[in-house]
Amino acid sequence: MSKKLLRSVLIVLLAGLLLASCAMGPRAESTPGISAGENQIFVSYLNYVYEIDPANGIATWRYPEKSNIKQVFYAPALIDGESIYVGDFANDLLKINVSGTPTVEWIFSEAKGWYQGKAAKDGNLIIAPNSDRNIYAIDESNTLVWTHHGDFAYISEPLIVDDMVIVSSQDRKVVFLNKADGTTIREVELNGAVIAPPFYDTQTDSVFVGSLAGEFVRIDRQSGEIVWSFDDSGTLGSVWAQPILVDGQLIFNDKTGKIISLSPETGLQNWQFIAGGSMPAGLAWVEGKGFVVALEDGTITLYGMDRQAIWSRIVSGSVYNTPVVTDTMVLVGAIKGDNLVYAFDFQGQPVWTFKPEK
Amino acid sequence: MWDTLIVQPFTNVLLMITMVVKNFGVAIILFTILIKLITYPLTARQLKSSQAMQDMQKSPRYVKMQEKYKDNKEKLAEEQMKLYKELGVSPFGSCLPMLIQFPVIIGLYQSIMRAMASTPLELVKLERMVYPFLDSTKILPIQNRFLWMDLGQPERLMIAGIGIPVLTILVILSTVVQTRVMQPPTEGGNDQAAAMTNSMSMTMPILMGVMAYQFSAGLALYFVVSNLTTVAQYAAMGKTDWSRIFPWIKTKPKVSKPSIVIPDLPDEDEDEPEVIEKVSKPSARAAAKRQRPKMKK
Repeated sequence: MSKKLLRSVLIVLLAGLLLASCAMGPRAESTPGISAGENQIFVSYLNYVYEIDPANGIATWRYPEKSNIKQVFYAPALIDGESIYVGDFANDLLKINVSGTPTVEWIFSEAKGWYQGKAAKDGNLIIAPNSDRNIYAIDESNTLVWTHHGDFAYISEPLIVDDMVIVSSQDRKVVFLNKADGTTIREVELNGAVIAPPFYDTQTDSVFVGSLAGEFVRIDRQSGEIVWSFDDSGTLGSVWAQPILVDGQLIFNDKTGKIISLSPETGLQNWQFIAGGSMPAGLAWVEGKGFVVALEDGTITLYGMDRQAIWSRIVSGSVYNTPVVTDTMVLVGAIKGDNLVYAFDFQGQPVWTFKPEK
Repeated sequence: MWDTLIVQPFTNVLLMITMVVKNFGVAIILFTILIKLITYPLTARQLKSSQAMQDMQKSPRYVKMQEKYKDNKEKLAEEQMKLYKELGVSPFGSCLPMLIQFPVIIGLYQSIMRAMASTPLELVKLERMVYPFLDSTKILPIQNRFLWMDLGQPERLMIAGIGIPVLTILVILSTVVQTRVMQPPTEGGNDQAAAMTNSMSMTMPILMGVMAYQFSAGLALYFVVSNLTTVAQYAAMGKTDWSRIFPWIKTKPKVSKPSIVIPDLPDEDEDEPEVIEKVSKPSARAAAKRQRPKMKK
């Protein structure tokens, strides 16, 4: 091989590598973000946001029409009437009109990190957590109202209660902000990182949240005091998801698959049982039926309040997301399986599956 | 298997260092240096083998052999193999240590990527990797802030509203230095090898720069530290010709004696393969060893 030819081959090879690395998108692995409204289902996954027809599981459209390798969607869309708000890994938060063909109404581009958590909305204000350690508050006309700067990436959905924005922080705390200007009202320290979004109960005016340190706490919203802390005598595993509140029982799970019911007032245990496998996902309540448990291995079970399994199904793939319950269906997102989303009716019958087109 | 044997131990060592120094950036620097030190014997062996090969290829006997059998590739290969055997030089001597280092380098890269878990799914997987004797709740998630950087995001230093990719520039510069340091001298050497190394020295810094610009700062930091450590290792072995990097420096490294002694070919019959005189007794390898220059410590 001549010197010239060898050099050319090498340059072509390296140029190919160079182009390949240029074309690479964000290097992160995550799960599909599913959100459901009235007759609307949206799925954020990889380079698209899909609208799914609830009747048959077919994508009615996808945004963008042509993928951009740097634009990756994992955050569930916030549904607001005919619009959705969805953030991506290209550091943009988009307002998309979904009444017909999806049309981008505006793009908020001031963040420097990824949008992983679902945004929250209250009145005119959209609150969006970002990996650049900021919480952004934007109004409906895409004007930045305030920014709250923290110490760690914000990745979970904020909670808005009256004049407060409450956010979980990976910096081992729950942060209470003033909704008007984003100033910190208080920070409540926990023992481990808080990944699960906070859950609010009006009855007790308290916030309930678990941490990765194997603790589950009730925080009084007005005083910020930890009213009680539950660690199951030191045996509670890490808590990755929100609880549900049903019939005066606060039900949540840890990652080891332990499902526990507590009294929200006292933190005393009503009951607990083992679901039988690893369970990073949380529980979902099915009205009048019971609660759905999704194990990482793809086992989906509906339990009645007597803790007896009503039905159980297995989906292909691994499940890390809390199932989403609509008026008529349970939606389960899975990765590394045959399909991305599985829909079951409340009797456990498969309704449809969704797999994005390549 | 790969995760259990390579990535998991590496990740746990990285997490342990992070626990001790309480800074992930410093932990990446220390961990990269540690791994480079552990693999130093392999690097040294690779360098020695490649030096021996270069010395052999520059020898008059080798050049004559190339000329003599230029139209008979099979015969040339046969004679080369004979010479390799006789001198105790393995054509794969420099490849083998490099091949052994590859899994280590890939494991190092993967462990840094794993430790920088930025999504809940990646955190779940990282938590699962942490050995029971380490308290994962105290370590995870890792604070990615280091100096002005967010190690989980591509790095830009904001100066007057302009994002300057400082780490990318450092990656490019350190890769230029590293490739020049490692580049064997081309004079009298093999043209193809020279062309290859020249192409590499041109394109590698650009490729690494583009990767550093696009990928997370933690990875770019690893590139910089790895490059600089490699340069330091070469310098420690006395193999660095600084005038190639800094042309105003006139001093070159001491001209080392050839690592192997190759007697010239005697004039012989065209048809008969030459009888090659043994380099020395008891073995050519031992002779080569005696002749090798002493390494600078």
